[in-house]
Amino acid sequence: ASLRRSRPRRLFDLSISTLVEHVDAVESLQGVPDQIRRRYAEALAERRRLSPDVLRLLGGAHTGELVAPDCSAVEDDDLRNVIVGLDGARLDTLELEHVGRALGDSVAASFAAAHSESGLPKLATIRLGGAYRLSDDGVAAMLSPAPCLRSLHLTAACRLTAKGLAAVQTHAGESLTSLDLSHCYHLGDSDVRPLLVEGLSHLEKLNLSGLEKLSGTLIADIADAAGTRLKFFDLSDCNSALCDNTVTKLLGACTALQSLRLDGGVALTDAAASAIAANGRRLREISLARCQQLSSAAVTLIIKETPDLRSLSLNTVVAVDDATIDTLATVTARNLTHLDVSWCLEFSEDALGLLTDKCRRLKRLSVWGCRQVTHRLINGHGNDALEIVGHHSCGLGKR
Amino acid sequence: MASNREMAVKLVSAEGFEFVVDRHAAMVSNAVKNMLSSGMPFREGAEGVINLPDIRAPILEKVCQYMYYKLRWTGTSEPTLEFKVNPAEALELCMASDYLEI
Repeated sequence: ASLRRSRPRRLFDLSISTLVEHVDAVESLQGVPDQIRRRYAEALAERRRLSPDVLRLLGGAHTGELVAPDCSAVEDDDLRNVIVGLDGARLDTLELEHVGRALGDSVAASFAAAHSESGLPKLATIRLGGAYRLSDDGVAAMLSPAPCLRSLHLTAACRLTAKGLAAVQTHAGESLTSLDLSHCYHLGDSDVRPLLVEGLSHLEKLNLSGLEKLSGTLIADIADAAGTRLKFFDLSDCNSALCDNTVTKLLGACTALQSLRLDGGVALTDAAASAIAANGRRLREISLARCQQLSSAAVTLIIKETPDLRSLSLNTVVAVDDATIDTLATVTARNLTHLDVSWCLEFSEDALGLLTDKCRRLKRLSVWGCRQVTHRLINGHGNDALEIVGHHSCGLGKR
Repeated sequence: MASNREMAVKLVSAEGFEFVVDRHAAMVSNAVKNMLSSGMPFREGAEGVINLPDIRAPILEKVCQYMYYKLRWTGTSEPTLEFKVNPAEALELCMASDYLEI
């Protein structure tokens, strides 16, 4: 007998889908709450419907936010017109992803010119994803009108150099608490040292994922400089730096760390895991994807020592077995919300099923490549809010 | 048809229209479930009446239809009919369903 259980789509998702299909008929988004407008923008981006007209729609809502998760269909002038027309007094969030095509130095200069007189007093978050045409001067221009920026994402900005980072220090050094430079692969120790070790006196969140040239010494120096201020550190794929020694030093210096990502740490051994277990009491999120050398015992130890764990990725940590899963189910039963055990074949479906029963707060479970997971678990678990991603019956796991 | 207080719940729209729905259907909404569960300090829990002054009657009507749809088609085989959302109402339904966690 089939155990298939259907769950009709949520009314919210059905409504958003309809709105995406009929985006041409939407006249204005004024009065729509921020988080709904943001979800709408994400749904539009997913369906590749974020056209210049839609960008105008999102920008014309006269609120404090412009969030456009995919600007790849937008060109210079479209973007210029929208960001120049934003309400400067209210703007607190500007998030533009895949903005390379649209955002060049000329558009950045127009943005600076339009808002320089009255400034952008509330602008706290700037996110420019994939701004591959933006030079150091362009970065400075985008930052210049914002006196109290708290969060800056400059991902995959391949023209960024030490000069641009110096501009970050000049304009936002005193206020910035969160910095994301992920995928700026070309940056080396000497480029980032002035900003990350000597500058940014209030930094709490740092994402250096993909910066493969950075050395372990530099990471250790950053950790020393930031100390207990640092709450979030992403060192994924920092191939030169990700070794046991660096991880140990990092955890020794940053004892208030709540979120640690070490994806791609193929050189990490159980020694690094011991360091995490010894110093990571406050950790709520740990990501160890592709840390293939870690043993099941080491991972189990980490779990035992981090009772506050909410999110854990053991993607491709192939040694993960039933002992690990059982410990996880017991220790983190009250808090666990996200778990990724993709490509781990040594644990049984029953153990994972028990985990889904015990961890009532679990929202998302990734099981890509887990051949042992079958319909029994997908349809048989009792957690209505749980989204399982990565099984062939679950679709592509849209976020 | 007699529906005593334990079986039915009243959802009141902005204009004052009262929609009487089955308690189980209403509990499809997380927000309603929370408001009705015992021990919660909401007045609604005691009286079984939930005021929704931000939701207009036509929208609330659609919400009630969805509640029955969801109840009917959860845990059975694949639904034969998809719940259609009228484009003209979609935006308001978004906001209502977000508020009601439905």
